[in-house]
Amino acid sequence: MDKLSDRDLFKKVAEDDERAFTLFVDRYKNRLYNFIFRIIPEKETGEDILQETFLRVYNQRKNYSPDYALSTWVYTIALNLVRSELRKRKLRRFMSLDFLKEEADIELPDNTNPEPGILKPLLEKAIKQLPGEYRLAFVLCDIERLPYSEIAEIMRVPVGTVKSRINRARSILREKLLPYKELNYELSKGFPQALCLY
Amino acid sequence: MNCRKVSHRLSAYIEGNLSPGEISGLEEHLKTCIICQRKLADIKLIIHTSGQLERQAPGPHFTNRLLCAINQLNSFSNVFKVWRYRLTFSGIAFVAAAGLTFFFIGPQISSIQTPSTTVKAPVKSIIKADSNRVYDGFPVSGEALKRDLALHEQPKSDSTRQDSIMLPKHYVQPVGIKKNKKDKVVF
Repeated sequence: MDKLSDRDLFKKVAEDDERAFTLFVDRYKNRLYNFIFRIIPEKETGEDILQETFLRVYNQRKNYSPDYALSTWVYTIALNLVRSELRKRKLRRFMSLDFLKEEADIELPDNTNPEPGILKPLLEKAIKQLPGEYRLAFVLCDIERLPYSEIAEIMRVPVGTVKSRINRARSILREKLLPYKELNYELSKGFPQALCLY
Repeated sequence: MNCRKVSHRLSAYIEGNLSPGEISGLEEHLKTCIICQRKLADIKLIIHTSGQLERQAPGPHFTNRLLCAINQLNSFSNVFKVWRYRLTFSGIAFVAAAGLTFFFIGPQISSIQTPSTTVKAPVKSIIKADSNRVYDGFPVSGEALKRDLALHEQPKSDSTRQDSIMLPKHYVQPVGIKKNKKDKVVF
C-alpha cells in the first residue's frame, strides 16, 4: 500500500479503509504543517488547523472529485482554514487596537564576520514580514515547491498573478535582506561603497 | 533591455520560462550591468536558501490524536443517526395519533351547540335607547321619535321578533326621563 499513488490511496480512504487514511495522513501531515506554520508560526494553532484540515478531508472523502489533484484539494482546504484564522485574528487585533503597533524590522547581527548559515534565520524572519498574499505565493512556490498551475488553483487566481506575486515577494525579501547582504559583500568581496547603495 | 524590464523578468529567467529572444536580450544587459547581476545573484540565493529552510513537523502524537478525534466524530454521528430515526418515528406516530383522534372525536365535538351570545333586549330598552339619543344631543324631533316608538310597538303581537332586537353598543341608562305605565317617553 506504501507504493500506491495518491489517487489510488484516496480511493481506499473513500472506501473507509482506516489504514489507508493513516498512510494518507503520514504522507501529507509534514507538508501541510510546514505550509501552515509558515503562515501562522504557532505550534498549537498550526496543529489545530492541521487536524481540522484532515477532519474535513475525512468528512468529504466521498465527495472528492478526481478532476483535481489531491494535493491541490488538500492544500485548498488548509488554505481556507488558514485564511479564516487570519480573519479572526485581524478582527481581534483590530478590537484590541494592536494594529497600531508596528512589527520590529529585521535586526542585523552584531557579528562582524557573518557566516553564510546566518542567512536562514534572517530569511525566515523576513518571510514572516511579507504581506499575506505574497507570503502565501512565496511559501507555496519556493518552500513547498509546487508548480505555478497548482498554486494558481489553490489560491484561485490566474497563473500570471501568481508569477507576479512571487517575483514581487522575492524582490521584497531581497530589499529586506539587503543590509545584511551589503555587509557580507563588503567583507567578503570588497565591493565599492557606491555600488552597495542600490 | 533596461534594468526595469530585466528586474521583472529575473524570476522567469531563473526558472527558464523566457523565450530565446528575451533570454539573449537579458543576458546582453547582464554583461554590462553589475547592479542587475547582483540582483540576479541575490534572488538565486533567496530561492536556494528557501529550499533549505528547516522543515517544521507536527508533534509525534498528532496522528493518534487525529484518529481519536475521527473515532469520536463517528460515534457522535452514529448516536445522532439513531436519535434522528427515533425522533422521526416518534414524530410520525404523534401525527398519526393526532389525526386519528380528530377523525373519531372531532365531528362529535363540532356537533355540540354552543349557547348564542346575542344580547336580546325588550322593546322597553329600545325606548330607553331612543330617548338616550335625544339626551345625547342629537336633533331628533318629537314626531320622528313618536314614529320610531310606533314602529317599535307594532311587532308587540309578534313575541319572537320582540326578543331578537339588538341593543346599540353605546347603550346607557338615560337619566332624568320619566315614563308612564305604558312605556311612553315624557319630556
